[in-house]
Amino acid sequence: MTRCDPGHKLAGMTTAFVRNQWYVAAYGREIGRELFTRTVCGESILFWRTGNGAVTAMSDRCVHRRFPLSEKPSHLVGDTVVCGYHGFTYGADGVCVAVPGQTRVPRTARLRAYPIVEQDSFVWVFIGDPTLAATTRIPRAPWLDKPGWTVVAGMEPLAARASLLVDNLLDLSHETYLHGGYIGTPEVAETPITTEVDEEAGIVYVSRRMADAACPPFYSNSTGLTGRITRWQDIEYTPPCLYLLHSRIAPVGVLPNDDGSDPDAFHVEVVYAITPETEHSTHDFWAVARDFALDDQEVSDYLEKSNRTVVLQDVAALDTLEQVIATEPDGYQELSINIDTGGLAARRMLARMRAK
Amino acid sequence: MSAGLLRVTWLPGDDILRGRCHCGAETEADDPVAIWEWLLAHPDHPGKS
Repeated sequence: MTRCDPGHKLAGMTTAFVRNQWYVAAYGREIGRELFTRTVCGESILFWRTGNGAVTAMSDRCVHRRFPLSEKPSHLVGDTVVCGYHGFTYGADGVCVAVPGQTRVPRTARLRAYPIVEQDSFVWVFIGDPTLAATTRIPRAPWLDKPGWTVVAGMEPLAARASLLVDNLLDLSHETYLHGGYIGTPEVAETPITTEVDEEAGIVYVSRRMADAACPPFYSNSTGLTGRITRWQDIEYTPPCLYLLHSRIAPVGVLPNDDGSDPDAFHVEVVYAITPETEHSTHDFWAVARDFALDDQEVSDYLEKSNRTVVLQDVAALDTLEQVIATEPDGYQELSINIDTGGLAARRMLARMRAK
Repeated sequence: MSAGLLRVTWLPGDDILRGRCHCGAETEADDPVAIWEWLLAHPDHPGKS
């Protein structure tokens, strides 16, 4: 066994937010002409679409007496939102345009507006100094909104800090134990990984390539493969929010062609957006995009049900873990071994971003 | 190796990790914490002559 470092402490398990970054706040389909609220990095944000379809985001607290604008009887009138308590009325830019009983609107009566970008089926919101939004990268997940791919997706509330989900997703050896019978097989935990950190791009890569592995039900039932498989798991994590798992499944020995084409393999892009809600809770967005059986609703239904089950297995484990570590005294210790190489890299990158 | 790229390879059939810095320096260890500390010490990798 690998010698472990018994002195390693949970320095990466902080609950502090990484600010001045883009986070996934919602799927685009969640936001329409009804007032919608979601808390991101501790900030309660109100979302709605204008008459021409643009998403707006502003503080979900009326400047007058802090009534939540997402709460009935607050409502939309055209492209304005009217507070349900005293009628303060705000435009799509968050500026107050009317107050009750007087013509003068206080100059400071404006809601904090958030930069928003709709991309790859997600609504991204910028948390931090809005003047930095335009120059801060939004990572891509193009398969979620691209011809030739079929997507199932969801979001599960996680009662645990975001760093626990990062740890979970960067080390897929847990599939063997936590997700056996769904996506886990013995080969996942047995196969060594290669970890790369691109310091300039700010990306962590973890690659696990299994040449001859059992096919878990998740893939056998969706692809129709029945024998042993070549299974590649190539993780690409762009902290703090976007995690991609490029999954390639093929019969044993079937590899991509020299020109990069790969017609005999099945490709699944598993996407997670890891968005802190509070310091101890997280929005766990998940999506599974595939390039096969595109119009097969049974496959879609199966993958949606199975992946949600897997996500809920993680949620149950991490909710428990949060309860445990939240009550541990400062300075408690943990142990890291080879499987944790990617997770440790992600922790260090997040810590550096947090310190900026 | 491209600028800024750090790589840790888990050697097949062994428990040893090999770390390679973007400057070309390499080390081996059996502990991922030690590997990252060594890599992130660039350009002052411990034990580098």
